[in-house]
Amino acid sequence: MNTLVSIQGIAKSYSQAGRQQTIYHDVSVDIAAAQKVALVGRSGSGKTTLLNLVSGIDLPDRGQVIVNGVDLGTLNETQRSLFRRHHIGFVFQFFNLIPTLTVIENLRLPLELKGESSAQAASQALNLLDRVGLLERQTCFPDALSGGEQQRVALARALIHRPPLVLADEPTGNLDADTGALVLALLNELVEENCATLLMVTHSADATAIVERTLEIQAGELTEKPRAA
Amino acid sequence: MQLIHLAGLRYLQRHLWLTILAIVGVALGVAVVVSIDLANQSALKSFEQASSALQGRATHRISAGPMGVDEQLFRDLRIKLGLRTLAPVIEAYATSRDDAGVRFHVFGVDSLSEGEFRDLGSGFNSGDDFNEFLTEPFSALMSKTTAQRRGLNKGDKLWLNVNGAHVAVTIIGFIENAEHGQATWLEQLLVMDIASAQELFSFYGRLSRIELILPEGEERQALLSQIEEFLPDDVAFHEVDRNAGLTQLTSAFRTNLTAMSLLALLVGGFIIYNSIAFSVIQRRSLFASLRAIGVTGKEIAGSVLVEALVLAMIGTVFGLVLGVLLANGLLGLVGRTVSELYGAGGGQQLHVDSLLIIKGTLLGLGISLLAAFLPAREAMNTLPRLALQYSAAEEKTRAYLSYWAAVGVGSMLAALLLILLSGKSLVLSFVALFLWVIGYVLIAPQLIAWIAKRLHSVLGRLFGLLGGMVVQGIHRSLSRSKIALAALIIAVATTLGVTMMIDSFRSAVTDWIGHSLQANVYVSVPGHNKQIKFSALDIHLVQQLEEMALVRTTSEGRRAWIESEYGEVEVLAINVPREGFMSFHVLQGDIEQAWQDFQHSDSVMISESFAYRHQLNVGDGITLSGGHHMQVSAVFRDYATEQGKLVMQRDRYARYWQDDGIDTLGLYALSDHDEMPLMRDVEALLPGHQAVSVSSRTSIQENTISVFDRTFAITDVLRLLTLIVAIVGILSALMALQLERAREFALLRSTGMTIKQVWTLVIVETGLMGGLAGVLAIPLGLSISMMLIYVINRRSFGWSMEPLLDPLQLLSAVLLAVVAALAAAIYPAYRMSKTSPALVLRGE
Repeated sequence: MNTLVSIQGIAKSYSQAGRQQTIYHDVSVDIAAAQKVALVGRSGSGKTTLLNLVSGIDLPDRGQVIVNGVDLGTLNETQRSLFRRHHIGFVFQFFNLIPTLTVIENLRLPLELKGESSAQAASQALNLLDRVGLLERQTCFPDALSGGEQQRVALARALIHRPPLVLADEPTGNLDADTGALVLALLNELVEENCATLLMVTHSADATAIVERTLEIQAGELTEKPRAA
Repeated sequence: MQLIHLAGLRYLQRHLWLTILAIVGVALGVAVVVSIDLANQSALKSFEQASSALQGRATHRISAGPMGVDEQLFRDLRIKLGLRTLAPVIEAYATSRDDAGVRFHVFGVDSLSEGEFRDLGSGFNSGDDFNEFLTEPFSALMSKTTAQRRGLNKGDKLWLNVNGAHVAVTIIGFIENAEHGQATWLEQLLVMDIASAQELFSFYGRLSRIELILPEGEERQALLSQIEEFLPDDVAFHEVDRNAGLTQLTSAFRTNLTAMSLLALLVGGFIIYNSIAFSVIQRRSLFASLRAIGVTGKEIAGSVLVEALVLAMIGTVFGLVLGVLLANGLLGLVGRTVSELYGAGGGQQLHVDSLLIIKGTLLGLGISLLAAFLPAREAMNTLPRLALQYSAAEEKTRAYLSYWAAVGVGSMLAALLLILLSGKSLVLSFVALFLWVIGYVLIAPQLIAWIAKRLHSVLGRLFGLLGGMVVQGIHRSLSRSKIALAALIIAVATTLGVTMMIDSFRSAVTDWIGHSLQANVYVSVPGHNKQIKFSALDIHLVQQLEEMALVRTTSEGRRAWIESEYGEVEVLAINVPREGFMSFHVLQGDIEQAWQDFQHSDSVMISESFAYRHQLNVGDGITLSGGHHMQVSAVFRDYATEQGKLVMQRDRYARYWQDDGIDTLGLYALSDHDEMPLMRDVEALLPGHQAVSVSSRTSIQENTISVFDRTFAITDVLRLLTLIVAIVGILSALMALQLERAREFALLRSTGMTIKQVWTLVIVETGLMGGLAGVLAIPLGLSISMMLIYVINRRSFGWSMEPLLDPLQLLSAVLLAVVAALAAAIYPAYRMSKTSPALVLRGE
């Protein structure tokens, strides 16, 4: 198995209102390249924290997070930002599109951050917009789109620079069932097309249906959930 | 990174009102600084031009006491010592017979010696003109512009009042050439042949000074020794100091104005900070998203700084234009003040200096970028966590309050230390004042949090949930409102501090002038001639005045400028009755002892500013020209000149400097009720005598106070501008806050709160905010006033005064803050009440 994400013995706790709250004691897991993994658990169990640790947004108190062969703990803040820029695509529950950039500009952003020219970025963005069915909405600002449309733009933005790892934090959590199913299908297609690894936080049963593995966080422990027959 | 910058700039575009207010903040700040600089520089430029043009290329000058230099010395230097590059000069003032208050600067030159020194002889069209200039008595050259304005042609006569006599001067040509251009300093200049000038002022055989151009190097040293050896003891020989003069005299005045304009810019800087900080706070989650997709902190900070730069550039351009327009208005005020304080008449032409424009630009951009630096750093450090909540941001702000308060205390302590250690430095005392103000506003948010916390429970108990919400709004939004409150505190405190200082000063001047003027009527020679002391009251007139029926006793005064070890000093030689002498407000020494010394020994009383400038005390000595050593018998209060003066007994002065003339005669009426009848008697006596000016004590007092008020008129303008900048700041902060709280208000509306209740909530909350700022401005205002009185004024002018505390001023400071805050709250409250809750909630 070609491991893309390797989490080794991490521990993490937060101080909240003067009280120390432990999220993980000692968690380890490996995720193979091109594998699709769902992360489930109760609210506040630490699912988003794990995404933050895998993306280098946050650092563990102890242990190692290795992504694509790079130990994130050895990188400084700027290096971790640059690592995300090249290796990770993010999809959020509340879309988090840049409100002052148009749809196509939102898509161009990750490519231009990587150093591609505006023309190249625009060409790729148009292709992908066509792919997600929003070509005619390219000059709209995000607030003029519906929730489903915004999330499709967010998916396109997360995958346009072909990152090996896609992190999704409840991508359908803010959508109705039908729209959620459409977005999920699109996410699945795009991830498979790119041979990307998907780590998705979700509460949705539909979402767990498209993944190969489901990990559950419970009381600071990470356990492999058996697939339903 | 163009897309990130584009996103930032579109943010500014979307929040147009806030953007406009930020631009207005920078523009006003820059405008105030630029206008003050331009007005100052323009008002002084004409005086400086006059000074340097008339000073010419002379390297050294020979002068003497009030009686001037004997012209024989000029001939001796030329013939016996063989000096060739030297020129005699008569410099004096004469007033217009027909336009009271218009003074002409008469410059008498020897045309044959002048060529090497100045370029004033360009007004001759022909050799005949030149001959006429030399041979025709009272012929003069004047500026063509002035001649046109006064309707004078070549050959016409200009009537002057010289020492009370009316004399006609014939205009035989005009001074105007490329080098002088439209120079305003030429406007009041009359160039005459030296013999004519001597005759005009009855200054026969005397010169104001002799000017010399000495070669550089060893040759100069040799000549200097030769000349010094040759000169008699009663003349002074010194190098021409090109930096001395009006520029130095007015430096304190300029520094004060500059400091006030920088204060306005500081408040402008707060507005920029407020706008940028708000935009950063509002976009925290956006920045977090950008960080999550790989944008670095530095790239985000860069984008924030670019936004600030764009705001600053637009604001600065508007500020420069506004500054030039404003300078035109201020020029009149500054020019008049300089003219009244320093006795020089100046032009009213605005000189737009590119260096000042560059300075204004750099200040505008610099302060804006500095103001944006902290928010940019905060943006840079935004953690890419997916949800950074409002409460977390507020918690962070509150956690920092005590840290900033500690920094504030440190800054205030540093200010006190700086005052103690900075000697007489005016610039360092302004730095200390700024440190003090900044220190205080850093402490203010902590104080507001403390007060709001206590008010919350009180108002909650009194008015229920809504009452509590009003205070909670202030307390919970400190991260947004602290800067606006700081700006308001500074503006109100400055207004209070400066008003208190001016009121104290005004009261001190009123008291001083009341004490200084003991005689009821003053008769004096119009205008004063620093250089020529032949202007004196006619002795027969003096005798007749002294013998008038309503006159109980008299005082006599003579103003002169005498060389001393401290340079040329103003001396007031007086003969006064004991009651007149006792009216001096003595600050150091014993008035009885001083009176004895005044009558019987070589002593002088020195004014407070003179003592301060030269570190002199009672018992010290001063050596005046002719080697006369005077002992300081007392230090007295005097607000007449910032350079200070010496007072000595007139008979002693007349004996030492052979000048027994008097400029001013003070007539003491039998009783104060006789003042007006005495005035009428004096005016009735005058026709057929020397043309003199007569003033009653009351009119001099009124005139002094009106000059005082005009001097500080510019301060009123500046205070008003600072306050406008602060209101803009508050408006900007409130707009930002209301925008931020749109959802909160929409929720309140949707749960049943009426529009009127939203209005009330916003207005009461803002009024309370203003009230808090007003209350907190009082200690700062009082301390600013103390610093202005005891440090800044002292170091600027050498004057002291007693602080005057008017409780009404304190009350009006609080009211001012409340009104300013309420004025700024109207539009945001209106917007909130008009916004549909459904629209806001759907938008969310």
